[in-house]
Amino acid sequence: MSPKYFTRRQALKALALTIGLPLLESVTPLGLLSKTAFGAPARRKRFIGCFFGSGCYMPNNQNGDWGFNGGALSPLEAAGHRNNTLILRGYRSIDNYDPHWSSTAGFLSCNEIQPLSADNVAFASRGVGVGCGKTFDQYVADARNTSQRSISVAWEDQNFHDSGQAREFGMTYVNALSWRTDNIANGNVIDPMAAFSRLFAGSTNQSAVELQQKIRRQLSVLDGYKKQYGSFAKILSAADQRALGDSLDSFREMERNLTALETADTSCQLNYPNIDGSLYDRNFKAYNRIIVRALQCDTIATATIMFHNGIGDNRALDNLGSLHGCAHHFNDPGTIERTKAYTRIYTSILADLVTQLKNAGLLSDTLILVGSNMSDGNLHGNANIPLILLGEGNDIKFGQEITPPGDITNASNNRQLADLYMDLSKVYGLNLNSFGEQNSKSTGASSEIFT
Amino acid sequence: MNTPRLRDLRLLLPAISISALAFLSSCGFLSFGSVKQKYGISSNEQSNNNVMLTTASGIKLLSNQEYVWSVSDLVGKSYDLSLVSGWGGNTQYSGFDALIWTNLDSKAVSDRLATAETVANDAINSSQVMSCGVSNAGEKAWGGCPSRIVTAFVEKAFRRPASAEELSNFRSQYEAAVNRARTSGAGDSDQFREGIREVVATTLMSPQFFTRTLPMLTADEYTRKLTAYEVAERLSYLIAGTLPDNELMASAKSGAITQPKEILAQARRLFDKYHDRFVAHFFGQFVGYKKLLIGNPTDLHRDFVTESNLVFSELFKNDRPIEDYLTPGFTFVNNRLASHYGISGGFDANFSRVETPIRGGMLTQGSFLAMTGVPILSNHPPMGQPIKRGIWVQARLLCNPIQPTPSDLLQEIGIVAGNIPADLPLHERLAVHRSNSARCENCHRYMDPVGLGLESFGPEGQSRSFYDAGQTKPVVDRGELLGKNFEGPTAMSALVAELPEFKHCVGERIMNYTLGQTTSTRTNSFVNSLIRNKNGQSPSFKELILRVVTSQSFQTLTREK
Repeated sequence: MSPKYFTRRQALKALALTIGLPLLESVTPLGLLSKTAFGAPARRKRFIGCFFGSGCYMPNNQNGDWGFNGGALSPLEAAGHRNNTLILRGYRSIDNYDPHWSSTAGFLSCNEIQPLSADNVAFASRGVGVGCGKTFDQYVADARNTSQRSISVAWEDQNFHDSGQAREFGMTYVNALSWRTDNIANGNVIDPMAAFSRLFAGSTNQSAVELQQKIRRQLSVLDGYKKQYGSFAKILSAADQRALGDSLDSFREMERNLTALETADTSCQLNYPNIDGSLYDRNFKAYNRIIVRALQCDTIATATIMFHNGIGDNRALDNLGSLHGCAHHFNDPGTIERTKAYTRIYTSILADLVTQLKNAGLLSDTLILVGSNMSDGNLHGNANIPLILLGEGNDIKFGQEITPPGDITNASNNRQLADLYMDLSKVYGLNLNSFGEQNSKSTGASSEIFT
Repeated sequence: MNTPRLRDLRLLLPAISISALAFLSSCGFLSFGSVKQKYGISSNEQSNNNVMLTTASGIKLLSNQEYVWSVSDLVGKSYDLSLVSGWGGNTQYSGFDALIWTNLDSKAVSDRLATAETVANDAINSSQVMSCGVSNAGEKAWGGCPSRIVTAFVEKAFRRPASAEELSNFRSQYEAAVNRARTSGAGDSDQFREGIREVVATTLMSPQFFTRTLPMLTADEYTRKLTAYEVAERLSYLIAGTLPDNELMASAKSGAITQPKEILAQARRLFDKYHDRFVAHFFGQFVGYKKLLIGNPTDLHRDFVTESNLVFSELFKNDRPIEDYLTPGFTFVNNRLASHYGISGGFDANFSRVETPIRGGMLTQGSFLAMTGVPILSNHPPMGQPIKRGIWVQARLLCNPIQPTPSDLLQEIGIVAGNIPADLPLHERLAVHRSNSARCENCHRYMDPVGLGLESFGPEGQSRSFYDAGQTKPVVDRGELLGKNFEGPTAMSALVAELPEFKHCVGERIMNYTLGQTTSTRTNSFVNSLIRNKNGQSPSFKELILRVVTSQSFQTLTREK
């Protein structure tokens, strides 16, 4: 029986409780989460960066196929997500080298990649080896401090590039979208079962006891590593100590992940998602479910999804041929159609991701940024790259399209991606003074994404 | 009287030098001038073997392949690359794996941890590792069997005896694992096995195993000779891609390996022992054809790789000079490959040697041609194929890597390409493209005329005289390289083989591979000393590597004062 009136005692108790407890974000009504006073952007908790290499059909950097009304975004519309989609026109990609390399590594960091040559002393401060820049998703991960840091998933890793152009550049630049620090790239998990094991503690054929034993054994091995590292580091030069020291942080992170798994809330689990369809479709839709559940469990707050790195062959979509070959379509109508088909595969998977987030009640505090390293792959255009922001709420112009003034097909008239990240940083409560570097550094200009 | 004579002599020396230069020029050495300018070569027979390289870095990861071979040798079980299939790819330089340090992220740690567990499970069932056993509580104590197993295993894995501190750490870990197993009710034998399993996994996760590290110089050191164990490790990974074998470890233990004669003898022994592995591993990266075996290779692609390995094996075994790798004069085919190449004769499924000037060279093998081939998808032969092949020749054989096209230029190319009449012959279309602007010409003059020389090979390496079945579009395979004209792949291969740039590039890439040294202007003098002729003939690949391993740079760490 619910009381008609509050008694004085009840009101005082409620007041005491309100004063005594901090406001729990997770119990805040959705209406308050998405709209705050004075027009400030609502605080969001989760971020997913999605990427596909080699662009889509956007001839001469025009909008081309990247839109609704029968275009590449149609699968989002068909799934009822048009009003959750903000189309961002007129952004240029990071382009200090072949955009396959620089604009993949730089998509979420707006930093420039650097050659591996020992002669490249200008960027020695980044440390040893491959270097780019810390990515936006990792700033969000820092702010949220979830039990596991984040996860990056992809279709495959590219191991070779034979044209001879990459003598001084590592394959890491095309294989990694997320960089934890300036010189540690987060490798992509390329098998959904591996992603599942990582976030949900193992395959289903392990008993709880076996799992606990395995975790304890692995923790013990990591502990052993730290001791052996301590012995080893004594004989290393300062530079080598730094190189290994950077990696030591990754061992610590793994230790933290395992500890979190050991004490994981057993009520927040997931059965491995078995999905029908082609291997490619199956893998990514499995990733969608694993990521959404891990976000829901607060196991992670950020993830990146690389649909394709844009170079090399594609193993599963043989009927469409090599993606890179399609992207360089040379205006051949059949090849253009195959390029379009590729993009629709990505946006169909995206539509599934948004549906999953909606169903889990997470879309209002999640943002998904989707883009590529170039506009039309045929010309490697770095102007007006395909870019959308997906989410829910009245603070951001979802359901609209923002086009800056001037000729957006010309990169020099384009907006900096870093300015977009600066605005997104406000949404996540990050205190960034600037984002990106050199020619790709934020300028202070507004992205105009807020209502 | 003496003074004028001395003056005469001073005049005579330049005169002789000028005459000699004129003679050399007239003998066809004129093109050498460009190389001399570029690389600062003073003599093609330069005999200085003491040019030292400053050491670039002391640490690198084992490549995925090196890791797999190393754990195979440790455990006595033959693993293949599927053991590390979920791991990230290796960073490459000049086509070679893992020459540069790459930081590990948590995913890499997770992958390595899972693999270490797999190998550790195999290790405790391996008689090679488990050289003794325990049946009671006393025997499982550290001092006996466990200590013997761990000491031997760690010494092999670390490529040197473990330090007292390292062994003490392993002892603690062994005992902790044994205690944990006892708590969960395991018997003595299982407790012992659990302890060994954990030590094995930790060994594989230790940087002493998964990195190759040369401890760098202290602040007041400028040079240091490598220890015997460091030399053995370096030599073993260079030739065998794995841990030193027992004989090499014995040589390191006695210190003999630091002697020039011994290192040469050990290198030759390792080349013999690991001949097939070395040829496939080294040339698979040098040319890049290992790529053809990734995923689900076709039978034809497997045949291509076999052909390449057999040809290079023959040349390497017989110490043939590096030029012969372009113009061997023979190849190996089976019935499938003979049919594909259009070579007549009686062949079966086994590979047999065929004498032919047309096939078998680096540029005329199916492996290279398939890697760089572009299929005809429309009515016109693709401009991309000669461009791709030209880029490869420049980058991998002449060490003249052509930088990727800036995006603004690509847009210009798109417009230009759209305006080239599609029905023109391929070589004319490429010429129209080059003539569009200096920016086009500047790069494409290095690619197109070289790649055109290989147009009589289709995208899968098949011979062709026409692009179309109706024989209306004839192939033109005339090209030009460094001002010299040629016609057809055989003439082109011979021309590349003669170029000093080719020889220098091979030396440069051998340096990249053997010492992990990236190329810079500072490395030219080392390369020049490496590629010197012997008895008027270019060195073989084996000779080049032997020169490196017997050089001071291989056995010494140096930094600039």
